[in-house]
Amino acid sequence: MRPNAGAFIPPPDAELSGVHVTGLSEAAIWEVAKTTVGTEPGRTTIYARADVLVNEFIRQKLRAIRDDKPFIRHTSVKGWPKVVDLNQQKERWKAICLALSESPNVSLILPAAPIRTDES
Amino acid sequence: MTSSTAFAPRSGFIAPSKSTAQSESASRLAEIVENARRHLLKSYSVRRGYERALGELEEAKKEASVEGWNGYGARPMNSEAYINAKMFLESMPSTAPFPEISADPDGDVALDWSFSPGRALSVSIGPTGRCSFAGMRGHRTYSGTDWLEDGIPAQIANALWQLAVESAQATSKR
Repeated sequence: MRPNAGAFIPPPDAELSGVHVTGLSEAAIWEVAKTTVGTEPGRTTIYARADVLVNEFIRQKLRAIRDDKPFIRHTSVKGWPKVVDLNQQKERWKAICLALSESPNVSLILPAAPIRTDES
Repeated sequence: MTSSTAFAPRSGFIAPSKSTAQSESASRLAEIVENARRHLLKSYSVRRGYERALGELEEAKKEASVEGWNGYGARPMNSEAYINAKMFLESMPSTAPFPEISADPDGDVALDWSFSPGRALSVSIGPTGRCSFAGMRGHRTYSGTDWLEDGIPAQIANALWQLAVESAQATSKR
């Protein structure tokens, strides 16, 4: 199974949010997901995550910058190409996202069971 | 002159008729093809794929119904984009593989097909019917923009067909 290309499309501010997970255990990674993403409205279940080597972002001419905001280990993926024609911009972003999703250096990781974030 | 484009070129997929032919025989032919398409849609496996896709679209709409649904300023799924995505799915050949569906943070609807490693297609449908797409066939990648008019854009239909055929061939060689 591969992560969907759509999972990498950045929000309108063109900064894709992620978490710097180097050195964290599996359990700790899922805990970060549960306490950050899981607090957003409607996000009550975590089904999977995508692990991406920073080099893979660099290969796509993007930059992964750890900024620790709004939470410790938060990382922003920047450098998405800006094009005046928004249609062309979307097309280019999709090509980048597809390349990320199909890269052998990107892994889809599933938890043992979907993680409910509204349970303690 | 009688014409029918109900059978997508080279594909063998049965798609809704786009013929504008007026003659009695053309109308009759279109009716036969449409009946065959509806018959196929009633079959369990084909119908299941179509219904699963519509179900995923509804689920994605529900999940992306509020501003900031992803926690990072994402826009809610645009209602026109939703209607266009539904039209796209309804226009899909009944025997074609159905995509996974999700919401893009800009309000578009994303459709993703993953056939095998290095063989994938991703389409984002916007409120104007704009379809941004990117595809990968082995080492070859491509992207483009096209518009929904009276059916699935030809570039996307062809890309889907090529990927489906190549994946089937790769599977049969194994």
